Amino acid sequence: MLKLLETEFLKLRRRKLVWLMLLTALIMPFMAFLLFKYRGDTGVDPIQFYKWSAFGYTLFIILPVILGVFCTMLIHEEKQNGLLKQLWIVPIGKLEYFFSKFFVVLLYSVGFMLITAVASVLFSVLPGYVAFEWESTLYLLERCLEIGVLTAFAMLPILAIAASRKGYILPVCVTLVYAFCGFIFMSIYMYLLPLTSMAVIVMRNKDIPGIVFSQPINITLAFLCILVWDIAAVSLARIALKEK
Amino acid sequence: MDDFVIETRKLTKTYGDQTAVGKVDLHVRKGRIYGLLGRNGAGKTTIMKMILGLTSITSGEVDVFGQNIKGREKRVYPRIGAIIETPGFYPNLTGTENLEIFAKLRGTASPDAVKNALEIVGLPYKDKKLFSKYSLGMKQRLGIANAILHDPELLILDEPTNGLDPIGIAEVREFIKNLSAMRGKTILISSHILSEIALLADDIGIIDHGVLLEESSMEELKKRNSKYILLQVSDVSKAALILERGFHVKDYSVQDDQTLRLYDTSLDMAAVNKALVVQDVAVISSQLCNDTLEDYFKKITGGEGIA
Repeated sequence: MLKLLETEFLKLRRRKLVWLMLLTALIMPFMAFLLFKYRGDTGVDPIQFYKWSAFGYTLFIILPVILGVFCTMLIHEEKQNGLLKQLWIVPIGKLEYFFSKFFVVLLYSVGFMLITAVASVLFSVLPGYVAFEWESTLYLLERCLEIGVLTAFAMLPILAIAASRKGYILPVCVTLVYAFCGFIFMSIYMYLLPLTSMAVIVMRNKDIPGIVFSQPINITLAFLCILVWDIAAVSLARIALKEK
Repeated sequence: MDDFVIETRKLTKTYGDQTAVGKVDLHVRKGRIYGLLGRNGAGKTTIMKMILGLTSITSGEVDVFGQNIKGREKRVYPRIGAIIETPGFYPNLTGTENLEIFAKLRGTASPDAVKNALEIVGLPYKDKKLFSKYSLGMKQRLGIANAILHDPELLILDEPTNGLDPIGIAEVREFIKNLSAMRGKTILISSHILSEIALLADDIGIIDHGVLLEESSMEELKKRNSKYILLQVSDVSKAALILERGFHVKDYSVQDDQTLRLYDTSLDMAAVNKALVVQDVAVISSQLCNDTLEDYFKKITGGEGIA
């Protein structure tokens, strides 16, 4: 498995788009910077700034969409270039292959959120909107790591769809619908989708101002939701890759 | 008993109502080059995929190294090198980087494995050219390099000379021959080019519309397709007896109840005809024939020739 992981990173050499996509981690911190500049606020509560820069659209839209595209890219290229049959006769286990891809997605997701965290601090502290303090910075870092890890798990169904389909259109479309549904289900039933369940876990302490939940917080149910979807995703990937 | 590295028994693959491969009994002997010859779409790739477990088998069995491959992939695959269809690699990486990935995945022990494999197929080591910029011939060479990277005992090569120029084809042919002759590798190679198989293979299997029409050694096939006398008589068994006793003919075959093939073309046919007629065997015709391998292919496939 370690060898497989090592080669997964070697495969990403010279794939500029993969690295360029990481720049989207700067979008929301920059937007927050513009917003607070427009308002002309100083001495803002750091959490207020981070809500905009890291816990809002990044969590619900940007990161899931980027990860969905990344999942599709990782698998589609190998399928398109007829690499799978070469890999199977190495041999590489089908699930081993799937989990190695997931691990890359996980690291990418964590990396994305770390960039968001660093950019959030820079865009808030340097212009003087927020006074630097370790407590809020560590809080941001902790939450960003949580988001990074949990979103990767929440995107496992997309990875499974990418593994089960020949083309890239369906997984990308499903990613967009999935991210959009995150918004809808947040107010209908939070424990139906991994994305909304992930948001529940991240905001479990209700310490992010302005976020109101329509249902009571139930961490167990949120984890259960992610678990059930992930088991289904792994099963789908197993069947789909076995057929190939 | 023959030592078969690959043996299939009634190997069948169907897609809905269509039979892609029907009851194929293939026997690849150790240390030999087995040429699977057939037109495009005859079922060669499907057979190879089934042997490698890359596609499911509808019915029948495949033994590789004497045992069923299913469930033993981890032990069997490291002993096999293969190219199936067009070999695929990562377009954003160089040839060396691509092979390094496969060497790492296979846990190839030799540190020079990549360099050696590239040298054998005539590709530069540590070249900066990306795979996406490779010509078809270079891609094919890299595929072969990948197949031999881990020094496997068995090579399964699906049309390995596709896209190569004539000099490249000759080079690949030479090194495939060497792999078998010098290093005792068993090789199953497919092609739709008869002359290529004729120059390379020790054994040949002719496949058409998913059916293995003929399987024999090249020597036997060449013998069968060299010059011979086609003798049509009224009573084949009596004629055979006369030939054996009167002319000491042993090298002949009976085609049907009226036809004999005599492979000794130096026979005095006038004397043979006379002896047969004297002993009440009517000679319908006797003619000197000279079939080529292509004629033979045409005949058994019941259609047009092959390049």
